[in-house]
Amino acid sequence: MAALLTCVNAFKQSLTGGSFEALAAATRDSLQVVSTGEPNTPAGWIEETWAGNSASKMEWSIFSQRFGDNQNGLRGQQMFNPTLSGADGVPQLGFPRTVDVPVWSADTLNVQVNGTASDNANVGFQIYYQNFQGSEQRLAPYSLVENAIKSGISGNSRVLGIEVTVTPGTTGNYGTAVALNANDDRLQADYDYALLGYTSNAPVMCFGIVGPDTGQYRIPMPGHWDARHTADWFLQSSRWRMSPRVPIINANNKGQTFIDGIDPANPGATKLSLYFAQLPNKFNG
Amino acid sequence: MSDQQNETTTRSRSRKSDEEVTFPLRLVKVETGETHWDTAQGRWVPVTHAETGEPASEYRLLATIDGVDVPLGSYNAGRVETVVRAQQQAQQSDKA
Repeated sequence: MAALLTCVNAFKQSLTGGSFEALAAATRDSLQVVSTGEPNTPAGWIEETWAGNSASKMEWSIFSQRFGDNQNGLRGQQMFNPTLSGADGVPQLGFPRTVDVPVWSADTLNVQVNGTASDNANVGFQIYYQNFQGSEQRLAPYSLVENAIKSGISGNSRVLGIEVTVTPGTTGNYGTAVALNANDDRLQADYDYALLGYTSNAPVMCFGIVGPDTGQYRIPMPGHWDARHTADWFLQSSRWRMSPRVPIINANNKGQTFIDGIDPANPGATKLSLYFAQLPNKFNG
Repeated sequence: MSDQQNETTTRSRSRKSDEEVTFPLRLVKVETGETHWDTAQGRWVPVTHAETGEPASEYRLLATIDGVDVPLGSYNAGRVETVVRAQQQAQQSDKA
């Protein structure tokens, strides 16, 4: 079984405003659900959503003929909080924690927002495919990683935070990708590392990590301002669902593993710490 | 307190009534001075925007109280300037 954890981000710069309008998929993302050839079995599940607006509150919706209804489907509200000096409420996590909504083979999702004229808007979601033919993504369950952390390696704790500075794109799209070892080259050769979560020095709507160990698919990391949401993002995601959601990255792939970011309002160079636990043994998952 | 400090204090606040004292506020744009390690160069370098190359900066709201600038808040420069551009665009549309 080849599971795949990935995301879709959509955006529009300078909204028309006043009614719902469509967002376009970001570079290399697609709003079409992959085709599994099994129309009546869920192809995957949307597990998280996030959204951001550069200057105002807004509504967002994700819908299709087979996702909710073909009018507004799942319709959510985006708060704007100008008293937060960091990001005015970007991102907000819009999905219930323990509800995963199925998506269906080859269905095309629509993402739209109803906002204020001239604002920039982004909406994204995490999608998990349980059986994605051709994916070689390495995802571990919570229990395996928890045991590895508690045991340590040869009498040492091996939980590291690796810093990488990421600049989201200036126009609402993904920005320049940065190698995992560009700013902090401390992963020990040949070892596998479990990515537990992350913290950043400013809110960013969504970071992504892509590399050989993710099957070259972007795994999303919403940059919420509250580190308690993000520091154990993957551990919690796995624990809630009792299913593998913890990305495993081999240290030898650090130069080919890239991190990028996307945000509606050009937050600039943002320091991101990725929390890794070194695994004592090679992960065969 | 020196004469100079006394003068600064008098200048930087004014008394409207017995109950209310007001202080001047300033919004200034400053570089954050952040640095990070550059593995390729093998040294600490200033953090810059990956696309524009500009140094990381922020807007700081400062209140002058008793001659001292007290930072009350800081705002991400990119986010503020994105709103500025959007407002300029909206105002131009209104005029058209």
